[in-house]
Amino acid sequence: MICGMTIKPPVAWPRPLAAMFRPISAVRSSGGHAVRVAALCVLVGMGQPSMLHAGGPCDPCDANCDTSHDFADVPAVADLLLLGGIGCSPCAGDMNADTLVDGRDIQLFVDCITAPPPPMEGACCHAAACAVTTQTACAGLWLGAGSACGAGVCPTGNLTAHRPQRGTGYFPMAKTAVAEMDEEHDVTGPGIRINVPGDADAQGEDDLIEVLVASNPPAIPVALRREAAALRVWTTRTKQAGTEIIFTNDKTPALPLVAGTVTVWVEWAEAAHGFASMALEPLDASDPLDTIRFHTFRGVVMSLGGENQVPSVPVDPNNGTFVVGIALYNRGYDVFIHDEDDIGPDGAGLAYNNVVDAITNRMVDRVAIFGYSHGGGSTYDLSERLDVNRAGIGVFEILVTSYVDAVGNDSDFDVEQELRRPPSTGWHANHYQTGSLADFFLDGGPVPNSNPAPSGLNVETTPWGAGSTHFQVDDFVQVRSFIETSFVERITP
Amino acid sequence: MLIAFCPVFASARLAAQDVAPRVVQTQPDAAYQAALADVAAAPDRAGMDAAVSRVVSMNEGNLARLVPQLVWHAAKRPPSASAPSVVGHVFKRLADVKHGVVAALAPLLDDADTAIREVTRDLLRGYEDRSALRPPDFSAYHAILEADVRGGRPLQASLIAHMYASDSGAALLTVMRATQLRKPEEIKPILWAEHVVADLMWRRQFGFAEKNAVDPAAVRELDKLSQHKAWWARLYAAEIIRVHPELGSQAMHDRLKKDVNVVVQQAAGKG
Repeated sequence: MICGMTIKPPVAWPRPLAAMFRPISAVRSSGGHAVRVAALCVLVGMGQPSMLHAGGPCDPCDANCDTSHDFADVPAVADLLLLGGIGCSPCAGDMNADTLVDGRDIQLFVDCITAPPPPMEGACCHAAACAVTTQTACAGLWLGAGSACGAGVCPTGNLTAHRPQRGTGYFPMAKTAVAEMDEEHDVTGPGIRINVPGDADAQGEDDLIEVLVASNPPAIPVALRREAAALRVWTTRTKQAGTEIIFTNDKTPALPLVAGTVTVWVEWAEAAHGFASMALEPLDASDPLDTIRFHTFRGVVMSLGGENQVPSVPVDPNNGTFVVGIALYNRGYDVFIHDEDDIGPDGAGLAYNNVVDAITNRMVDRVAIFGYSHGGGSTYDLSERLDVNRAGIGVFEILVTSYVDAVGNDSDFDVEQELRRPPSTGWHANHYQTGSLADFFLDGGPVPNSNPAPSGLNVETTPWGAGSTHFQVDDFVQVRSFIETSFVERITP
Repeated sequence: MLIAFCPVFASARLAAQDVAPRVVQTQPDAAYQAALADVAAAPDRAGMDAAVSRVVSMNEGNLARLVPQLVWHAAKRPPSASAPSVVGHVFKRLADVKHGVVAALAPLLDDADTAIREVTRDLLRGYEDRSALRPPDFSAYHAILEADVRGGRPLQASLIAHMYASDSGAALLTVMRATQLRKPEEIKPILWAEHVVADLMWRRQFGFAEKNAVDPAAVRELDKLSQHKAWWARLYAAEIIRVHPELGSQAMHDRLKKDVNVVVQQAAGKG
């Protein structure tokens, strides 16, 4: 009993009940109707209103028409009860809809302004769309009660992975982003080298993959989620101490974006091959904004240029061997482009060291080698050295090789045709032309058991290659396409 | 008299093992250069072959005159697509006289011109028949060094340095034989040292030992060689520990860096 009335308490009283009432001593009269309220108590609005929101065309509980159900409605109801008259809306105070505002409306009014608020709705960002829902009904990121959908309110994000580095940077490749359409492909997507303790990168750590993270609006925090624990993320390319972004339950904390972007470096830190995705998602939701999928490199491709062909960025379009190498790089392969001077007459040198490092330290087990002119001679020498030293290197296969007008490379002045099939190759392509005055009689020649069968193709027997010189044969699109297609068919990244 | 002469002969042999600086300056010979230009300007294959024949036969096929001109043509002419090929085709015609060509090339290792020295080194490497399957062929170098020893001339330091840079073990054995050692007790320690070190390298190469494995026996043999009376034996120790410092002690390093022979000093100092 409060103020002479039996008032059923609502589910949750926000304050001690007595403090919410104070008796009025005056009797008010209005319009000739005297309402004796000896001990009428009125609810006194105190403190914060409850978070109620009135809706609908006429809300009897919203007695002051401020779209809320709160203690601010009490004086209006009291006036209607004591003075009669017309409220701010036709139904104001008439809680039981009997067209009268009287004592039978009081309990209902008390229940209304003190009941738990109905669930609030707000903008829910999910699957690149926005809808107004309650928080519990939101499958994505809920932006809070009262928030509205609109342009730019939902977060967008993008992950851009890049092709692998060399040494301190990307040279002799150009820094190349993985195309959006490839970024989740198991072959043409971002390849990554296995990087485990003992992997001695002679030119410094270069096995991490650069990933650009972009997100908007900057105020919404985002994080990375990984599919496998093999993936680790750093903010430095050389894994400096203290720069790792630690995953907890395969999710990072909020990424340190600046103006909506940050560059991270992804490492494959387990000694096992595989595939794994990484997604960018809101910190407070598991709704991916963008996903990329890594595949570990099982193979390595060596592209060996001819005499005076020096790797460059951008690539010289007349260096057909390097053009093919870059095409394979962009198709997801780990490609090393070399000047033929990087291979000695006995196959030793930087190219050999790169292959051995890949096999012994990064679990690479498949090799492809192709070369033009002296690079062709070096293809033989490199293959021979790898084959001879298998016991000290590990298990691997030279799956595919190619010559274009191969010339022996015992010295810069060697003009002998390279006519030997590279030792232990699984499949060998061979293109050549017949030397003439225009190229000072430099040429390759037929190689046993090579393709097109049986000994390769003299391009001068074709309509497109007639009259070719030594300096042109590596640039024919037919030759380049044959090499690229053959390699893609026979070796996966 | 014979006995009296022997020590003299022996000391002369030791003296022949010393080195002396040589200086060469290759100058273009107009006739040769013009003939080589004719090779480049030949209208067809037959014309080229004929022009090459003329070059090769000039001055009765004197390789000592021809080869430096080829090197000069390769190193000093304005860059062109044909120059390497001209030189290459002429050398290809001389394939049957490999030792003669190498003998004519070797002195150019001491040319005053850097480009000529570089081309010479490159050409010499081409005559070593290098392969992963076998050690290089130093037979032509052996002939040159042996001729110097028998002629009482100092050994060509630049040639020996080139050999050691190519393959230290093959170089050591080649120079040892070229210096005409006869006594087994002089030959066998050198053979044994090279064998012990080579065995370690073989085991490393084929996975029977770790890549940086150290064999105490190899270290002992290198230490002995680093104190050998022959500078070319000490040079072997210097080259090995330059490439594989884990096989040398600090005392060995310090000793070789202060060696009386400048070639040994230089090899030890690069490490």
